[in-house]
Amino acid sequence: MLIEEQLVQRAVNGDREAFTQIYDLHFNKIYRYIYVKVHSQAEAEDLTQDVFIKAYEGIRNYKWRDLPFTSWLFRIAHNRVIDHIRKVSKEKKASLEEAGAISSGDPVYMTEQNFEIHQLKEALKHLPDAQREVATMRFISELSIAEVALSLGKSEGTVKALQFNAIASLRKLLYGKINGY
Amino acid sequence: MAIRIEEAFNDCFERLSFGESLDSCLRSYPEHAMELDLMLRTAFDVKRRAHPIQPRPEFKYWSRVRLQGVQDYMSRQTTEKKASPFNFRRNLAISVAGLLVFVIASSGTVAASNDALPGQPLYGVKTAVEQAQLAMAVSDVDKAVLYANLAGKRAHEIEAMARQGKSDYLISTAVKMDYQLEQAETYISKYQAATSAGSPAMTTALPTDTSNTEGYDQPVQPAPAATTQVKPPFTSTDNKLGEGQAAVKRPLPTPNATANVNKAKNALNSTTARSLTTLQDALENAPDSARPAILNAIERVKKANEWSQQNLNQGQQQDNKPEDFTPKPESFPVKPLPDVKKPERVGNDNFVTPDKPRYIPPSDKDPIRPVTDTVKPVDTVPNTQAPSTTVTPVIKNTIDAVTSPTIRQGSGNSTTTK
Repeated sequence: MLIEEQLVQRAVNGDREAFTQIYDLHFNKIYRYIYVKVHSQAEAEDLTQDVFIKAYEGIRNYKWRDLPFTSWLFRIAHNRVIDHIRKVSKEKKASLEEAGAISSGDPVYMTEQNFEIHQLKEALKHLPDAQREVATMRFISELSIAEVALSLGKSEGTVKALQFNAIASLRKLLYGKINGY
Repeated sequence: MAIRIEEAFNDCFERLSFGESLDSCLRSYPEHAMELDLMLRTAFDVKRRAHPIQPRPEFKYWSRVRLQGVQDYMSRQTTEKKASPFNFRRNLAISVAGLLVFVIASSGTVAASNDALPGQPLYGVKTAVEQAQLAMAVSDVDKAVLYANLAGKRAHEIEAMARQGKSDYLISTAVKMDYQLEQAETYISKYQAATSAGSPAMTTALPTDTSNTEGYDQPVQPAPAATTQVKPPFTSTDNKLGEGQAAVKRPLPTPNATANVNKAKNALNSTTARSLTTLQDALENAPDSARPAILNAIERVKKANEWSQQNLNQGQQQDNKPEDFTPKPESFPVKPLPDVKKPERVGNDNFVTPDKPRYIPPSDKDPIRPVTDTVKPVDTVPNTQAPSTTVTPVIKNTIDAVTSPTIRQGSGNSTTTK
């Protein structure tokens, strides 16, 4: 049995420290995944926190053999984001997009960095859902092909094709007007 | 049978993530080389753009506190269901006694917690004190120094746990150490970016990745001389992605800023040097199951050490008055490391590669000097690259848990290996 699986098993059995270790391992990935899908940093923070609380509430019923833990966690995140987007779109709440990078104190540098993040988020919005999901998990949350495939319930071959198409689309969206590719 | 371009792209993306060069990978797929080249550049640019997206450290901390509150609440609910109402007086007495003990003992608790190890009751106090110290650190330099020191503490904890044969919390401690080194590097880079420290030119291109919080994935580099462009993590003379990057005028660093940067770099340099020896001691005493994690931790510390060393050297070269602002790095005896071969990283010379010189104790003439011929591998330590039926799964998982997201991402089939 692998160490991560042991860690998860301990958390399933009620070991709080084990769950805290899991939290440390996955927190940044989940945050990034959520951040590029929502409008603001505050929303991303709230949702990320919710994901881990939901994971803790549900971990006693979790079984590794059904789904690897990372894939399970990203399914929770995915569902939480979908719920949130539905709710926000019903409320039609106007919100300003915020800066996403950690503040460095240099406004010029931050502006450039945030502009690049904004460009990326805008480009991702133009992708078909499946491509966006794969690109976000693979290149932003840095999951493996197998983890992405299990999270989305698709075959690895399909994920590889979606990943390639997503990058081809992103290339056009991000640089099409700059260098003509 | 021709390989589909999706397969070739995925294969190259993972190989590049492990440090292989673009050219080498493209040679494997000559029929798709041109298209793969463009797609891989885009993929790594997407990764680079997303890299600064990090949760605020204080949010991460308070989120964890809230999670612990939820855990407390849920466990209380479970306990209350089991508890009998007749136990009320007994519970009250226990609570009062506990409170008294807490008040009496709290003065010594913080001091006693200093030597606590993960999993021990006082470890929570130790981490709480550290968080309080971080909250009180105002400037980026203070935070960088503090994070460097905390990473050193984690290294000592790893050594102590290895000595005692405890491996339960070793990985999570290594992960914490990794995070703290990343934070130290990030705050140094941020401060440099903000003050343009180390940049001799009046006009420099904006650094594109100085908020790197995941360390060796895409390391933070001080702004080089003259105008530079964004580079994906592979070598090539073609720089299509850098187009449109604006050059921005920045003031020259002030002497105070330079001194602050050097102070932080020096703290990181000396901490990592100390941590290297500590972790090497840990490696000697560690049980077999813990060795891969320690080896990874050593690699991580080596990278941070080389990063700080290189930056320190650059800073020394670029300072107008290096003798005024550059503290000398401390010297610590570093034992030869086992020869853990990892794939070379191309296009980013900040990182340790098997062919690069190691950090060794400085002499009088040259405070930090690279030496390649005096280091001998330790035969008793297993090489992480060597296939072993008992160690391999542990190594794979350890890499997943401890090493950079780049490596994790590269392990495309990690679930199947579990």
